[in-house]
Amino acid sequence: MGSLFRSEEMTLAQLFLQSEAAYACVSELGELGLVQFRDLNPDVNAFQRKFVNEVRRCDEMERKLRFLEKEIRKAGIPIVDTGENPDAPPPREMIDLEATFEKLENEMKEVNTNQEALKRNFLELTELKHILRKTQSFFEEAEFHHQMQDPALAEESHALLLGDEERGGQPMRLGFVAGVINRERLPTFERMLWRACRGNVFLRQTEIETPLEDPVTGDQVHKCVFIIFFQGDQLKSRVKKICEGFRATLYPCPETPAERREMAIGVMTRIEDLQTVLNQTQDHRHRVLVSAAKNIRVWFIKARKIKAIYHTLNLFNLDVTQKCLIAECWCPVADLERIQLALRRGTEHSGSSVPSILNRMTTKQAPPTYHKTNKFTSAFQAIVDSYGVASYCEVNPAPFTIITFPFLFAVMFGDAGHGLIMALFGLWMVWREKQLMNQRKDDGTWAIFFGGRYIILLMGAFSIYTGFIYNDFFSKSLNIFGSSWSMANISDEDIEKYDMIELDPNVTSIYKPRSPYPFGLDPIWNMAENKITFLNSFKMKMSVILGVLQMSFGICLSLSNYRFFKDPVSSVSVFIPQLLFLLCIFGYMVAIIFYKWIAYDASISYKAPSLLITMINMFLFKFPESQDDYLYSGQKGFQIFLVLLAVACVPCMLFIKPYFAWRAHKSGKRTVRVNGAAEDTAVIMDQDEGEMPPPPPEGVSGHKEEEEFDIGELLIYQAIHTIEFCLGCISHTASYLRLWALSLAHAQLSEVLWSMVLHIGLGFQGWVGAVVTTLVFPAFAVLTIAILLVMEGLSAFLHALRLHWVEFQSKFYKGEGHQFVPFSFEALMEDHN
Amino acid sequence: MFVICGPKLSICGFIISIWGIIMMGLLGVFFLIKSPLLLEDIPATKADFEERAKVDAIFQQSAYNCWVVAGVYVFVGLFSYFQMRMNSRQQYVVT
Repeated sequence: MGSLFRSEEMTLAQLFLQSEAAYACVSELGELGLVQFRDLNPDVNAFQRKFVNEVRRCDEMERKLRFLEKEIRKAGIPIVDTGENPDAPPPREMIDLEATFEKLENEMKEVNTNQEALKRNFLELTELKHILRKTQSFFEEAEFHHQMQDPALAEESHALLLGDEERGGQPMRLGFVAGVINRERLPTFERMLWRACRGNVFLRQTEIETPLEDPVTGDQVHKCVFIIFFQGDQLKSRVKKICEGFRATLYPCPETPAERREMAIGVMTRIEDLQTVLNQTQDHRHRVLVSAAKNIRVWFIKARKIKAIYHTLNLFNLDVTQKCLIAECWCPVADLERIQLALRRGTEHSGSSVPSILNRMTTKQAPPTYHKTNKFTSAFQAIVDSYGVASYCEVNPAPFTIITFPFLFAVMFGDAGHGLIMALFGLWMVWREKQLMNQRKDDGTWAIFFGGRYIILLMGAFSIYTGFIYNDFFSKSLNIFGSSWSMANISDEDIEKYDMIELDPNVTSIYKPRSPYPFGLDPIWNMAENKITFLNSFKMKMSVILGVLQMSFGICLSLSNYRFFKDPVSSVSVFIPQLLFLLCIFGYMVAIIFYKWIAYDASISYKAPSLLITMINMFLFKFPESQDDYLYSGQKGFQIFLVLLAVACVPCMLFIKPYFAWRAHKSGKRTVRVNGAAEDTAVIMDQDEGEMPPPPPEGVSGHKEEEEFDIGELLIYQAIHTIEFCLGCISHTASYLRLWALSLAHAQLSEVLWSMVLHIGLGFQGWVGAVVTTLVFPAFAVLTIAILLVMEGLSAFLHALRLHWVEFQSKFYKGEGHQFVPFSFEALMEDHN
Repeated sequence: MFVICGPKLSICGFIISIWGIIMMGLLGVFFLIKSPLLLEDIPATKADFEERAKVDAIFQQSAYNCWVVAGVYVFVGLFSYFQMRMNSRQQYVVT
């Protein structure tokens, strides 16, 4: 069982895999997802690696699959995702897969080209059909004119035609061409014709009503039928060239009506035949694609897995005897059993007789950090990792963050109504987890909110709690238990006379002594003019208390680190002075805050000394004259003692640790630091053997590889840390005041929203009020969500995060590790999606 | 029946209606019990505060107003829910 407190113990292991079994073993390890392989051939070019051919073949397969996927999507066929997760197929199956894909690709390409050719044919026939129909009217017109006219006048440029000619005696050999052109090109075409042929040609055109499908692009284009009459061969060639230039398609149109009718019939028949063929081609293509669509997901997964396996195999070294592959990997010690099992499974699958061997190695390198998280803790771990991945085996702030982060957020958010909405939102996302996981993967913002659903749920729940404490529900207070203050005994004339009444808690009739409001803020404060003054004092003190608590806890966690890494010098010389420094100054301040709250009641509160002045005077060694200004007896002596103790801690922090390091160096007892990288000793360790030797202590710095010892550098390092800590104490404590500031801002915004928006609706007399409120309420709701939930929520989230990253983690967290990235098919598939 | 609002609008409408029903319902109750914290939210002038009975009547009127609003949102909620169903059915049929 993994613990979240520290990262898992990792070990460097050497794998000896027989060449035949290597593929299957890596496949099993990929399914398991628990090892991170190291690249043993870092200098080798990608093209010189052993399995580059296989990787290339996988790339080809993926390309074909992508082509097929595109075709399937274009045809609008849904790709069914059964959620099946097939294993990586063995190498011999890869050849079958390649053959299948090749066949499918070729078939698709062939079908596509055929379809294109058929469509082109179809288009031509359709255009011809339109031409024959439209030109019929031209010819008839011309007939009409021809019959009306004197043949002698035929020289004039009327629409003359060869009808059933030879009637006019001198046939004017007018040639004509008929064709089809894009509607958009027609005006330019006409103009060009007119200019080029000097007006000696005659154009008639008419539009085709239905748009025709372009075979290449599939667009619908509008075209027009035209017919051009001219005389002579020169004009003919000129006209033909212009038609070519404008990409108008010319069709042979017969001259006699009888021939045209015959041709029309022929064209109709051919169109029908072609339509049937087209339909069948389309059906066939659809069938091929549908059958491909059923398997394409599975094929993709298989192809990617094969590629991943060969990429991993490229990282391995080939043994001298060329018989086995050597791999180096990081793996968690706790899971060595499972890895052994996986290797055994792989060896069995491949039918090899020689078992694979796993050796543990010792190394000086820092292992990767691996935290075992589940879906709940992974979000919080992600927050911590964003700042910096934990160093190997150092204390992980994540388990504490699970509670402190939503709590600090809630302190800044503090409204139960808004908290309820946020918690419901989080609850909905958690409840519908499985369904929402599959939908809407593309949307980035949604993915962020969904990934943090547990955080949102907790933040909302904690906000409801702090909302009860601040007694704030959409900026109104709830009087659940009965207020401890009462106006019952204030005389009516006082109420008449004064605009504001001051309620003195010393008077028993006004305030019941020793029976305060049981939980949270008394609701009367909502109506008080000095609500903010009172709350300011309360919230500021509370923020400082929370801050000092969290910082002290951080320092105590650093002790845990020192003890784990067996660094007694640091435990004594760093932890104790740090803790004492913080507690003597700010711990004392917290103590007198509590003392003042408890010791002074309403009767003597007027002479309570100011805590801030007390603290300042403590450092200036200034002590007041009168006895009243002391909080407690013996304060003078005690404060002097605390200040001296705190000041004494500073040189301890500065000098003790370098002194011990120098002494250790002198006496020759030093920690062995060999140049790490190349000399990892492969120690064959028994499975039942106990823990590995503890990881190298990270505390003592200044030891370089060449074992040089520079006391100056050590002193400077220690000085920087001491100054950082001491100044940081003060600045971080003040920084926690943002808890107060943001909660004040939220409360005020909430109040403003109520009084400026909802109040409008409630402020109308009579039934009009209902109408206006109906219209005003959605505005109130939308603004609440947009401003108070989203904007304030993000703001409080950010500040709570900053408090954790800087103020809390700087007390103990190094965050210099690197993340454990195991070779896992699951992670790979998620990346691709 | 048709789809008048799109899917997002109908979901928004549904959520705001639920919120409105609950919040206005509760507000109405609080007006009815004459909560002093809502004293600033009633449409009463300084002169009205002379008579106790008048202020009570105004509180009651505000309470009724809130319930009327809650009632209106019941209908809006039903309508939005209906639209949500229509939208999801349309989506189902089209694909």
